[in-house]
Amino acid sequence: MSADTRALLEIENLTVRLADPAADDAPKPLLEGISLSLAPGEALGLVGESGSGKSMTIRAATRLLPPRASVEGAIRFEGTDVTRMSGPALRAYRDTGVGMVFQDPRAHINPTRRIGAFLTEALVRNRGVGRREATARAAAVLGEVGIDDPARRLRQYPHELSGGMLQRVMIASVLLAEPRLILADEPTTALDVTIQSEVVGILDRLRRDRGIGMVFITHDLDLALAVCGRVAVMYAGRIVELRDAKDLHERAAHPYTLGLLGSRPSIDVRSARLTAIPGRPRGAFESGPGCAFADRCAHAQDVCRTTPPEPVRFRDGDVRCHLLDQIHSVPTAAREGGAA
Amino acid sequence: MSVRDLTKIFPGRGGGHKAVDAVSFELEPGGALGIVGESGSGKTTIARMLIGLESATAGSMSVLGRDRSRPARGAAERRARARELQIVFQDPYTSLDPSQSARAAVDEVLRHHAAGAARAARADASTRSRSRSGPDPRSAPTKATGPTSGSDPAIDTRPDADSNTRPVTSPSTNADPRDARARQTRLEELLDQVGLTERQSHARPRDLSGGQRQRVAIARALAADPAVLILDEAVSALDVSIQAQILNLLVDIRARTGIAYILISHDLAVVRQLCDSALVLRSGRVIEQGSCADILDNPAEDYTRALRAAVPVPGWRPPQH
Ligand SMILES: Nc1ncnc2c1ncn2[C@@H]1O[C@H](COP(=O)(O)OP(=O)(O)OP(=O)(O)O)[C@@H](O)[C@H]1O
Ligand SMILES: Nc1ncnc2c1ncn2[C@@H]1O[C@H](COP(=O)(O)OP(=O)(O)OP(=O)(O)O)[C@@H](O)[C@H]1O
Ligand SMILES: [Mg+2]
Ligand SMILES: [Mg+2]
Repeated sequence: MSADTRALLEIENLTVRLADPAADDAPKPLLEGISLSLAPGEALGLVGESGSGKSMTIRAATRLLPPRASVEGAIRFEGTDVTRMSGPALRAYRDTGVGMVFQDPRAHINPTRRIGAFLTEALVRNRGVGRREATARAAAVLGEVGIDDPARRLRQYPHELSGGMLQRVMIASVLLAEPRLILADEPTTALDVTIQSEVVGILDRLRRDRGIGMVFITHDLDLALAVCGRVAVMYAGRIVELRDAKDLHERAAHPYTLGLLGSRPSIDVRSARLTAIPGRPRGAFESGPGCAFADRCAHAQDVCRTTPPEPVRFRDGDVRCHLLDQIHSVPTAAREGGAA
Repeated sequence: MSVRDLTKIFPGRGGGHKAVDAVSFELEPGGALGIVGESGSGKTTIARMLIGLESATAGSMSVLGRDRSRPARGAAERRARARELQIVFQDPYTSLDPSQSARAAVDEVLRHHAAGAARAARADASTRSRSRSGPDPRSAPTKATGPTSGSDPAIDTRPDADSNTRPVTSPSTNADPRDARARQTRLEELLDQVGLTERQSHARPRDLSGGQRQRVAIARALAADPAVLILDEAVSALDVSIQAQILNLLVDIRARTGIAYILISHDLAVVRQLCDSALVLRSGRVIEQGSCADILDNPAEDYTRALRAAVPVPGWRPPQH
């Protein structure tokens, strides 16, 4: 398969393994066969429970993997293989190609320096922008992310700002670098819902206005469906379902995705019981030879326990499940099973 | 539970900061009250005052008709209060003893209660004999018990009141064998109730998942046989599939035991799933109060409407500026 020339980010059959120095075993897998692509101006959601490999996927995309990790497969940014980038190319990619927004802005912003210094530093150092000009740009961008009185904020220290405010500062710092791609790792998980909706509103507008591509990581499937055009559901280091968000919402295919949807209580009605998935989420290294979800899946058959499912086409997307035909010949039962 | 004009002013510049402002509510036996509001609206501060980890600046609170506005006097009163009210916080990891198996952690609470009950019987303290059969320990602020060291409940910043009362001594060695058997039965019952398997019950906290640790914390709280259980964002950090298991569990336990809940949560869907009534808090004040369904379906206040509108649901779009 050749590089898609329109793709901003393209990940092809990415497998990441990590050697355990304490054991002689073969390196254990963290990610297995991840493939996805992202066009400029598109938002792709990566959804899954803890340990499913969401963060690892974007760490691979920025080459920030643990040192003992081995990588197979291709990661291309604007057609260039990220895994083979030389020092200067990698620096340029990280400085201006891609911007990262993390869950906890406080852990990523130096508490002893003013917001102004934090925001202008990279401009002055990497771009040779004059200090006065850098400050003016920083103030303008703060305004863009909805912060009032930017001049005063620039003089403040991080502890003087609330979590939601600081997350906007983080986003502003990413915007100042004018990246073509934003990787947002649970950017709103630490915020309450009202602030969350403002922050995702800002990211959404920037994506549309500036044509920035965005990978949006969250464990909240409803949020991903609202913010992203396409959504990848991850389980145990694999993408089990990659679909158009709207279509996924109307007709989820994979039993795990259906389980996630059934697990969430509704804000509109109380259900007698939630359709909880039994057991707990797993990492890739804990899964057996077959489908990693088999031991929690109500539909599982022998083939599921012995053979890993390959992605198959389902409507507009791809799904890794042996039993799609069986499950979806009775779609309503699969969708509503156990909800009462 | 009855709470009247509960107020907390944290000292500070300009007369201090009023974190909780004249909050009143009633909770009937077996009821479930949701407390919702933005971050910083005072939810946790209310919980900490109820449990005695924070002193109230003004107002009164009572459970089962017994006043708890003043700090508890003596171990017996602390135990009695712990039987009235228990709390589970967001992250049980910090409150569980890392060297203790799940089973031992729950048994400790049962033993503490049994020891306390035995002492109470010996002392023949008929004045406060309360015939609830439950155990008790934990929760109440303590100056003497437990390794937590926080000598003043108001400055104890540990996120779990439970850890306050890890009993130091327990005269269980000379306990009646019938008590030991009853305790054993109760222990198995609790572990079973929260869905911990035999194998998990022998595991240390670090070998358990977040959801399993939260089950241990809930079992520990239930071991005190409280009339009211406060859950402060107790399911917020859990994976969605585990959260659903715990929510189902909490619904079952309430149906089976008639325990009452106070659920503190950002998550309005979780509140709907678990609660009958709700109150909406803004800057420490109750701005709306009533049946949970009413408040969510017909919010009277713009603030409540905004909270609700911010929840991403199918079809929701981020607000455009
Ligand atoms: N530095 C590391 N060394 C070894 N294993 C790691 C390391 N970081 C992560 N892992 C493992 O890799 C797997 C994927 O982790 P990852 O952080 O990508 O999960 P995630 O989907 O982002 O989860 P969460 O929702 O909890 O953030 C997990 O099983 C995790 O235990
Ligand atoms: N020990 C303290 N000293 C001073 N102020 C405090 C103290 N504890 C809490 N506050 C303040 O009291 C207010 C209410 O805090 P509280 O923790 O009760 O909010 P909350 O509603 O639980 O928020 P969250 O949803 O973020 O947990 C906040 O403004 C907080 O900063
Ligand atoms: Mg992560
Ligand atoms: Mg709180």
